[in-house]
Amino acid sequence: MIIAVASGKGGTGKTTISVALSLAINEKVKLLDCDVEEPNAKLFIDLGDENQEMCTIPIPNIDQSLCTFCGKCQDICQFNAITVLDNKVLVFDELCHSCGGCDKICPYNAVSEYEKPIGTVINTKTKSLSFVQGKLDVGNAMSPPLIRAVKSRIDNNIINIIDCPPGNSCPVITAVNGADYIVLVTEASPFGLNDLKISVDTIKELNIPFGIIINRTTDIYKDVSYYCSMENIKILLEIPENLNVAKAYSKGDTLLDAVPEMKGELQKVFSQIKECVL
Amino acid sequence: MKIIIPTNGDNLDSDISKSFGRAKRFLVVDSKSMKFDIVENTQNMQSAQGAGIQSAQSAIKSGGDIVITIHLGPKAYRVLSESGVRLYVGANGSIKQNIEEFQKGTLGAMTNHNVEGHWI
Repeated sequence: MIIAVASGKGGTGKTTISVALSLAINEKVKLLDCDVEEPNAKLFIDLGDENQEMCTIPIPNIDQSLCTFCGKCQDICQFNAITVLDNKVLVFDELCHSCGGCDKICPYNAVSEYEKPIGTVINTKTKSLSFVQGKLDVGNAMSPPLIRAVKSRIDNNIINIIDCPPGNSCPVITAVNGADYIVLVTEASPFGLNDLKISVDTIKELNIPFGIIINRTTDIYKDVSYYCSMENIKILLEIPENLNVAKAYSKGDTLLDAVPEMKGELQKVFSQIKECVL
Repeated sequence: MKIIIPTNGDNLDSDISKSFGRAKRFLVVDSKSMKFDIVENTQNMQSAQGAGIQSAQSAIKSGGDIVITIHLGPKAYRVLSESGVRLYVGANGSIKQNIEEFQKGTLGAMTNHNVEGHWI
């Protein structure tokens, strides 16, 4: 089973919930940190020895001595990554999406591919919990290839929890694609609600079942739960605002350390998810 | 010689555009006769990426020798400088004024991009 933990607004508690859920479930779990631009789950889960691998993507290299500057590679590229001038070809690595089109279309075999490093994937594990993290190299702007590399470590025989990037654009879609269920973590604030609505609209397009966890609820702001009941959206759990959770977070401790009762609550959330998926 | 200037207007009195890659069009002016052609660029205004590159390609295709622009991003700069087109830093004002300043020799040559890209 694959459970993706996403949000609209950043900072609502995705990593907090992903980590706590991974530790609370009484089954074999793999936590995959796909927030590759700034992965932080490792701050809370330290499993010891790491296996680190470099992740690369293929980028075109043009042999200017074989090239006739016909422009076919430029025409096929959907991303403006190749510019053909009168007597030279310019490749813009950072725009390339590694589709391989230029290589296939070149009539003169002038295009070859080299592997450009984009980030690293690390793997650690104990008996009941495995952890995979993707970390994008500084200066790199494209997360999806690295997110796919992290997700290639999904083990279909166990429970996989994906800690997704925030927002609703390409990195998030890449992270939640193929999930059996999406947990949307939101916070009880106007900003949280605004971005939650965008996330809900996006996820409905993907046809993946989802539910909401409202984090940091107070007696003052009720609009998120009101929105959920109006839209018939399942609220899996409400977590009241609690300074002890923030204190624990700042020390690298988990939600379960700050509020032990959450273990039982999260096990109930997992049962609700299983009921929906199976 | 043919001088290319980005603009959101459509004649010599129009102001030079502050952006190169997202300008609505380019005026390609024959500096001797002051006759000009218009090369539309609106297709690049909404591009998610590569607007500067495509605009530079349009400019090169128009057969211009010189580009006068206030700003130029890194990718457009790379394409234009590699193509052999000469680049000059424009001044706020009309296209006509910029051409006059160029002919007087008061515009500086552009030796590097002077703004960053908008996205990647």
